[in-house]
Amino acid sequence: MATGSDGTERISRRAVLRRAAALGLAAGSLSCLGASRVFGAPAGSAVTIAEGLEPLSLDPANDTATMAMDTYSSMFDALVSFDAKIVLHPSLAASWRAVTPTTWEFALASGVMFHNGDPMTSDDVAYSINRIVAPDSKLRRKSFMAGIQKADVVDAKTVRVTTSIPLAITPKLMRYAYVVPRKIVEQQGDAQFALKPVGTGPYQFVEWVKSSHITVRRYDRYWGAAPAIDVATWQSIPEDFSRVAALQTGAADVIVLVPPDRAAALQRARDIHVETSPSLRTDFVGMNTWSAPFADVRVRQAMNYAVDKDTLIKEILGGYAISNGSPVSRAVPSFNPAIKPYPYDPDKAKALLKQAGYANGFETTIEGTAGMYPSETDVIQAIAGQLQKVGVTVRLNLQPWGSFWPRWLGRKVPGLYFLGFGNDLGDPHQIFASHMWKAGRGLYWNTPKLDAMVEAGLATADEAKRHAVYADAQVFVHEQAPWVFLYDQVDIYGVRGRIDWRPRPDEQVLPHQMRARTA
Amino acid sequence: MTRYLGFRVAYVAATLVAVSVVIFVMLMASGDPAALMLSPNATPAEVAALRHQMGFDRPWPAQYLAFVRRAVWGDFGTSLRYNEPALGLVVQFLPATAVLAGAAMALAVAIAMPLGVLAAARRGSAYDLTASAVGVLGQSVPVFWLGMLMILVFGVVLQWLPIGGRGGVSHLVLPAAALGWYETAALTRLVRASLLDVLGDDYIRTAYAKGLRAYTVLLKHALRNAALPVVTVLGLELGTLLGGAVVTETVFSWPGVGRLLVDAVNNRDVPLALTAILLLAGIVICLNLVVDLCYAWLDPRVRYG
Repeated sequence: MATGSDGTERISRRAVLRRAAALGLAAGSLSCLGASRVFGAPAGSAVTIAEGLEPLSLDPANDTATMAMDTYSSMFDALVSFDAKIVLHPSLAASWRAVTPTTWEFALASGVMFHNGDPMTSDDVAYSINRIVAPDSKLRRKSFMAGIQKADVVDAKTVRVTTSIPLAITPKLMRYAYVVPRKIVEQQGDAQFALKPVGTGPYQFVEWVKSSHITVRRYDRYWGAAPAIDVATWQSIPEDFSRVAALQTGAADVIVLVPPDRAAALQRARDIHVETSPSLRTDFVGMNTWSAPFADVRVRQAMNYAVDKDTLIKEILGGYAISNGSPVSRAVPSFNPAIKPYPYDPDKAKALLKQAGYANGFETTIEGTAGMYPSETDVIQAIAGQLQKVGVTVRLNLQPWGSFWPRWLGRKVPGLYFLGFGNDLGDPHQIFASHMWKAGRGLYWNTPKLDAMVEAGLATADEAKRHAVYADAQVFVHEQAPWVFLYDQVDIYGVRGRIDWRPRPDEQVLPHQMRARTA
Repeated sequence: MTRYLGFRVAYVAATLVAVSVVIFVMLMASGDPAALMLSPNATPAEVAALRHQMGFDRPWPAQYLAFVRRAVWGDFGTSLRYNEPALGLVVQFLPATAVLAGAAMALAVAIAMPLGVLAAARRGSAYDLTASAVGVLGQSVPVFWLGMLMILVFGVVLQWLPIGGRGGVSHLVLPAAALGWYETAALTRLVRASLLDVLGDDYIRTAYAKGLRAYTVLLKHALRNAALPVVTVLGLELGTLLGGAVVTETVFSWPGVGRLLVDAVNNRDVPLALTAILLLAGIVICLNLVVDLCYAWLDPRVRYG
């Protein structure tokens, strides 16, 4: 204690500094507590993947998000799988054939074991399909398998799938029906199985700490090719900034959804490389065509001529998108390359509007979300500005997804809306069914002519015929312009130098397709 | 005291009912949970069928009363998102938030008390200036910005500390510092102001005149009396920390109730959102009650009856 000039005792500066030094030492010692790696996966043959979301459930039939499928495809297999070019391949089914237009038979692969050591049977396969498509099923995957009626066991090696209508995409739809062990699911119940899943995949479940991470370990008795990575961990890091920081510190080896404005900086970082892939996901501005002004095809085409896609891609998306004039993404095998994007031509837009009786323009709204798609807020604002130049005054109405989506489903969007669509089936039918087919979900536009084309594409299993039908359908939709066709996304990933991996158009980040380079 | 306690318990119950009504109405008015439960490929007919199956098409008062009837028996419903009991989920995530809030408060007290005492004891000195700076900065810097800055400096550049997730003590430092920064500022100013107020009292001058050491006068006599408003604020602020951890938990990927609540609201998971908010509200209200009861211990002049 020091004595002040007025005789009172005061706490000395030296005492304060001594105590502060002690505090500093304590803080510094924390850096020794394993600070450089956040999440516990060891280096070597382990990989940590940082995603923006975690699955709603580890029951592979109860979440449809693309990110969830990363986890599912690691722990489970389905009858079929897609390669990196979105071409269908046999998986648990060695082969298949259409017996009738509404009946398919799948011959099963041999030697497949569940992670608990039980052999996979045809009964398990049929059960896995039926639990999704049953009339009283509450599983979220159900609507993705619309048209699949039931599955029956033919014999120990064959399963028959029956559809309610001729459904050429039946084999592709089987990718959604990951096979689960009937005995375990029925014993435990869906809720318990969702917490401790058992599958046939290259990895088996280790743990799930909600809002933190999911860990899986290589299954040594996997029936297929053994993966190079031993342990995979998915981290749930919702913030873009935090995810990028995790990559920079080595806490994550692979991160998804790198913002375009961070890609260049990451590319320059030591021991990090940026990987990109054109996506199956296409972004667009839809229109409510059931009333004026968008009921008029000239107005819809005018909207397409009025939007400068190239500037949007260059200035806002940093070049990470590809302009597209078709509703089908370029990465889908049946994309029609003859379709060119609408060029930017505001004079033509004004001429079309004048022909349609809107020489002085009109007012409308555009609805959309924030944070669902790359830079969509900036893109929407830019589009509004571009439309203003041709006389169309656009009021913005941006909402959280939870508010926007029910409105869109309820057909309550009166004017324009911004959406993206991920075609993870790799088939044009999916986009038409979701947005343009009256028997599907053509809520804001549908026509008998396109309905006939969609149904023709569904009715034949001949891929060449389907390809031709969908090529014509894409031309028709391009001309009818129910959307302002914008671009296909280009997905950006950050990858540590020690990981060898190439991304896929379907956004699947699969540890069994990675290799860890030795130091 | 018994009558006072009885009144406070009734007050707690009434407050929780009011909170539940307000939150329920806001959640139901903000969107349709059925549409968000199904996949984006679902048709309007499927959404309508689910809405009917889950009872979301019933009048709001009927839905609310059904929730209350079950909640009274401890059944807060099943999370629409996770398909697990909502109360179990919130209880599962609560310890992480409690640890974070507790650590933030401990850090705030550990810094604010000595700094506030020094600032009051040595007015106009460097300590006083530091305390003022801490007070201003702490209450003007947003938590999310501070959190991101901390991640950048201590995680990415210096690589001293982990940048997110829950693990050992080192994982707690950055999020607790970010969350507790505002509390540190507020408490520093409060301790300083409260102590300055007390230091001007006659009994303090008498104590000095009697020859008591400065250490004894300051910490044993003045601080105890100055602690009354500080304790009040501590209790209130701990409740604020519990609810305000939402942003910090998101920036640092901390798996607590805050993140759970944000996801629940975004997905219109009404049972989970209601349960989380009611539990947090209940904790805040109980903390207030504890603070009020502490008064009687701190100040013998305070009596309830």
